[in-house]
Formats: sequence, structure tokens, C-alpha cells
Amino acid sequence: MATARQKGLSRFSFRAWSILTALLLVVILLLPIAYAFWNSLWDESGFTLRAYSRVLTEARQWALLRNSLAIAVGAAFFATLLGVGVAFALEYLRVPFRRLMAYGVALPFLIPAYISAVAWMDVLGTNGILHGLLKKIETVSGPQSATGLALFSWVLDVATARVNTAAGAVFVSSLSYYPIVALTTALALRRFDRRLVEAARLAASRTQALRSVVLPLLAPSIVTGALIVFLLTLVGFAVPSLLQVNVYPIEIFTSFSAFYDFPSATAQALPLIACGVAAVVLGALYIGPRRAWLTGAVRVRVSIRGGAALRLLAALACWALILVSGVLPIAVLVWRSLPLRSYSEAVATAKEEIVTSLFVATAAATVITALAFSIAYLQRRKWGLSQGSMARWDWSHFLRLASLLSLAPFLASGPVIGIALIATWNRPGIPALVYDSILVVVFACVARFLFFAQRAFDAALSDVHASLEEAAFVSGVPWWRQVGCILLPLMWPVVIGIWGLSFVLCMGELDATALVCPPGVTTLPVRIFSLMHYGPSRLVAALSVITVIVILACAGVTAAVYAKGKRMRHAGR
Amino acid sequence: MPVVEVREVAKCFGDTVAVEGLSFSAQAGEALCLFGPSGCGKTTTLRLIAGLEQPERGAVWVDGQRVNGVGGTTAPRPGTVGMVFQDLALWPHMRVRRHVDFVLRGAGLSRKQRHDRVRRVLETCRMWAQRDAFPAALSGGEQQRLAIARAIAANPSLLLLDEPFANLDATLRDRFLAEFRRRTQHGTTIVFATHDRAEADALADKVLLMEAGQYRMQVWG
Repeated sequence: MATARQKGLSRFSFRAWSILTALLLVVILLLPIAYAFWNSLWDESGFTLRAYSRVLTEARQWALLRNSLAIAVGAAFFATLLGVGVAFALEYLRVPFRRLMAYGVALPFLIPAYISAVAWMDVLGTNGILHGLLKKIETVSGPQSATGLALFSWVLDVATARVNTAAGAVFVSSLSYYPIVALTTALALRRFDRRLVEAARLAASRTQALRSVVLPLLAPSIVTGALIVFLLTLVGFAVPSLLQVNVYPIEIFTSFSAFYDFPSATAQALPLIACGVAAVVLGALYIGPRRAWLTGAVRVRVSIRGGAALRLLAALACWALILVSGVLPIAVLVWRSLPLRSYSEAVATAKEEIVTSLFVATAAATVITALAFSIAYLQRRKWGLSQGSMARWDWSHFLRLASLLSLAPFLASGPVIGIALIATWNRPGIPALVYDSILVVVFACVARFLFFAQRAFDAALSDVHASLEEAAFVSGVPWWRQVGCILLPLMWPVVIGIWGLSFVLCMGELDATALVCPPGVTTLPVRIFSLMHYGPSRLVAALSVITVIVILACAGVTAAVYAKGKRMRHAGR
Repeated sequence: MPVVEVREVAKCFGDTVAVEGLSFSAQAGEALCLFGPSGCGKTTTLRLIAGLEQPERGAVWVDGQRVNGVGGTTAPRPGTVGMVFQDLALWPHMRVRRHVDFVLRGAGLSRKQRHDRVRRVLETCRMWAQRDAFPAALSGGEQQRLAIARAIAANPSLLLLDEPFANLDATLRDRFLAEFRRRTQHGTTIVFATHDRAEADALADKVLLMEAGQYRMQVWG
């Protein structure tokens, strides 16, 4: 009898877990997007496609699309050049101090891109640091007395003239996102089977081996990184907004916040989604057949070292890049925020916002991690579903569809998520409980970043062989103990890593929260964003530094815990 | 009543037919060998019996309970089935004794009884000395013995063994063959997969020859 009760409990709890996961997906992701789309099809006169026909026929809309695409392609291209170079220096040439360098490379990604944009405007702007420096030098040595100084002045003028253009957005985005390409490429290089290169070297030179064996095998990982950068830049709102470059997400934001034109704001997401889906499909068509190239490889690090001169040159180039992309923005912000009392002022001014941001980031990261794990687990472990005797209605199909659809909120851009959440929850009755509280901000963060976490868990689960759980299943171990005693102990470094990454992303989230924050609830990025328009730059810099410190602290702890977990796993524990 | 019964089972992976129209049964205390070359469906058959794969057609009964078939699978009752996987499937984060203890948790034993059982099983498999080691610290043969220890821990009425002697030296193989024979004499049913004729000869009461979609049962000994 005890066994029957146990089996009944197992079946019930598994069903409850599946239903709860599906319900959360519907409430947070699918319902707002579906409702926003439905709403965009109606106006006072009834059903209409006016907003959509305007998006497709207006010349201005096509110009916006060109702008958005140009910035996204440019950023993906330059980020790929920088990222692949850094990854090769770290993992192929094995430059000295590469572990320290790896932390440095992560720095630009951890600084929210809009904070980097603020820093770069401070560096390159007409009243920026470099112009100030140039004036001081000219005061001492006379106007452009040396050729070098004249050249510097010319370059600076060109840069200043370009900072508020698409080129400026490409520059800031590439410097912020190249670590993503560096990461995907470096991970592929780490699992690269050294014997493949050795076999090639028997018949070819080092360059030929690199060109004919290493690069083609790495191409799927490089394309993955480039694709992520492309998508992040395509839907990015904050950087173009600060640099005053007109792109689609800004148009969406303006349509809603300035004109309250709900149908147009939603319809304008269509080109972004179409471009994003096209990029994802093309990427999948390219990567799909090549995915297994490296996954089956023996994980022996490739250690083909170049000559000493090459390694030194690569190391110097990497450190220069880290200085420019990571250290310089922080240094500029710290310098701008001085004197130190700015920080006490900043904390006094934005105490509530800091607490709100910490709460939102913690709650959203926890929901993202739990939900993403559930979706990935329920999708991947099909036999687990059958334990609940649910084969007649296989939830994995729904979850697979839902997880694909979870890409839609991300591709629709942050402002559209904000609009969709407002449309869904800003109404009397029970929905108001969500909209009038911090919950709607948590929902916005979850909707934006769930996709990444879910993909990461999907990849991590594929690394844990299903037979480990099957061995427990055969012995009659219930599903929750399989998850709790086998899967989670094996995956906890990944769980911590994904939670940390989600926290970092949510802590800096601005694109959706800029619209969705209800009265009385403001996050730190939203406060910084509003202060940028009318507040003192000293306070903006201090708050930006505080944001970066919180993010770096979380990232540091996460990295330390993750590294410890990995070490334990390598040691067999 | 047979302990395990497979009726007209078919299983495909995409376009590849793994097993088609497979039927057999094994009584209590019988050792049945699935014998054939690589890719003939031995592992798939064991996985179907364990409920790890769902067949396209047919059904599987273990101890009178329908564990697998079209429409769903059910987890075997705790302690009914023990399995040694081809890749061993040892849990890398669990120590040796925890492997055995973990599968005994659902058996309704007290802590002391569990501890005694763990000790007895590990001593049988000559693994007590390594009880605090993690799998990564064990040799190939020790890992194999641990996988066997885990499978026999709950005294299952059905043992499924996928190439169980692959990493064992001759002495240990003989020892385990004797242990498995002892278990069949006490009523345990064993279904094991091998492509080694000597292993089949040494343990099997009957052999299911599997080759190119053809199945033929032979009674040996």
C-alpha cells in the first residue's frame, strides 16, 4: 500500500510541477505578448491592420529598420573580430596571465552597456575628458604645435562628431558585447581535441592547420556568439537612446510614452521579430548540422603555442583592449563622481531604488533559474514525463513550443515587453495586484532573460548523461529524489552560474523597466536613466559606479562558487 | 507466472529499427542471455524491460505489472529491478557506500538495516575497503563492481545486466558468475546482454539469439 501511495504522490507531484511550469510560462510570457498582439488589431472602429500596414509602407519605417540592422550587423562584425582574437590569445596561444586576463575580458560585459555609453560620451563628447586634456596641452605648448598633437586633435574631432551616430552605437556595442564571442569561442577551443591539430600538422603548416581544421571546427561557436551580439544590439534600447541614434526600439518607446499609440508601438515590433527570427533560423540552419563536431570530442585542451614574440604581441593587444573596453569606462565614471561625498549623496537620493533593484534582481534571477530549469528538464527528460503516466498528453510538446515562443518577448525588444505587461496587468481587479506592485517589474525581467537561462540549462542538461538518472529510475527512486539527489548536486555550479548571470542582467535591466515601473516603484537603472536627462553628472556617475560595484560583487561571488564547483567536479566529488 | 514477459515489442529510432516483433519470457530463477553482435538490439531490449524506452508496439510485464507499452510506462516498484548499465552510470558526486545506500532508501529499511545491507553488499563485491571513495578514484574493474553492487543491493527479483563483465579480470568474472548463479538458485531472474560466447555459456539457462531482426530462443545446459 505504501508503494501505491508513493507512486500516486509521485504522479501527482510531477503533474503539479508540469502544470505550474506551464502556468508560469503562460502568465509571464505568452499572455502579455498574445494580448498585446490582439490589442494592436483593434481600435475604436473595430478590427484593423492599420498599424501593421503603416509599418510596412512608410518610408520612415524602412529607414529605421536599415539603421537598426546596420548597427546590429556592425556590432556583431566588430565584436566577432575582437572576441575571436581574444579567445585565440587566451586558449590557443596561451598568453601569460591568461586567467587574470579572462576576468578582465568579462568586465565590459558586466558593465551595463548604457553605463559604458555614458562613460564614452564623457570621454569623447565636446565637453569630454579628451577635449579638456587637449585644451590643457594646447595651453601649455601652443595650439597644435606638434604633428602628433594635430593628428590627435583631428582624430578626436572625428570621434566626437561620430559618437552620436550609428557608428558610435556600433563602437559602444562592440566593446560591450565582444566578451560574448570571446566566451563561446574560448569554450569551443577548450574542448578542442588536440589530436585533430596534431594530425593536421603532420601534413600542413601551422597556418594551414589553423585555417583548414581549427577555424572551420570553431565556426559554429563563433557564429553562435556573433548571433547573440546581433540580437542584443538589434533589440537594444538604452545605448541608442543615450547616443540619440534613431532605431526601432526607440520608435516603439516614443510611440507609447509620447503618443500612447498602443497599436503602432506593438506593430513596430514586427520588423524586429522578423529580422530576429530570420537571423535565428539562418543561424540554426548553419549551426545545426555542425553542432556535434565538438561535442563528441575528447576534452583535451589545444596547446599550440606561437612564438614568444607573437604571444607577447597578443598579450599586449588583449590588455590594451581590456583597458579601453573595461577599465577606462569605470575609471571615467569614478573620476566624474569625485569627490567621495557624491556617493553618500547618491545613496541618500536613491536608497529606495538600490533596495528595489537588489530585490527585483534577486527575485527575478531566482524565478528565471527555477523556471528555466523546469522547462529544460521537462523537455529533455521525456522518460521522466512517462513516470507520471502522462504519455497521452505529452507536456514536452507544449513546453518545446513555449520555450521557442519565449524567444518572441526577447526579439520584440524591451519596450514592447513593457507595453505588453502594462496592457495586460494595468486594469482593475486582480491584475492590478500585479501592476501596482513590484511583481510587474520582476515579470518584465523574467520575460526578457528567461530565454538565455533556458538555453543554458538545455546545454548543461545535455552534458549530464541521462543514464545517471535512469540508474535511479530503474531502482524505483521517485523523480524528485532523482532531481534533488542526482541532477542538482551534479549541476549546482551551473545553477549558481545561471542565477548569477540572471542577477547581473536583471540588475542592469533598463529597456523594459523604463516603461513598466509602476508609480512608486523605481529601479536603480531607471533612476540613472531619468537623472541622465536633468540630474548632475556627478550623481549619475556615482550611481553608475554603485550599480557596477553591485554587479561585479555578485559576478565575483558567482565566479568563485562556480570555479569551486568545477574544481570539485574535476576532483570527482 | 513469468517474472518478465515481452510481447510483440517493436522499437525504432527514426528510420532505424532496433527491435521488431520481439517476444520472450523468463521464469523465476532463470538466466536469460540476449546474445548477438553489436547493434542487434540487446541494449534496447534491456532498456525496454526497464521502462527506459517506450515501444511503438507491444508491451512488457515485470512481476505481473505492466511496466511498459503503448500509452505510457510506469516506474518499476522499488526493489523489483536492478540494472547494470553498459556505461555503468555511476553518480560522480556520490561515494561508493552512498551509491548502495541511495537505492535502498525506498525499500522501507531502518537506518541500521540499511547500513548492514550496504556493508554486506560491498563486502560481497569486494568494495568495502573503497567505501569512502568517489567513482573517479576507482579503477575500471572497481567501477564495474560498484555498478553490480548497486544493482544487487535491494535483492531485486529481476536483474538486467548490460555487458556486465566487460571490465573484469578472469578471477573477478568467475566470482561474479558464481554470485549470479547463487542468486538465480534463490529465485532471482537475470536477463543479460553479451556478445561473448563464454559468458553466455557460463551463466545462461537459455539464450535468445538476436541477429538482423531474427530472434531464436535456445535452451542450454
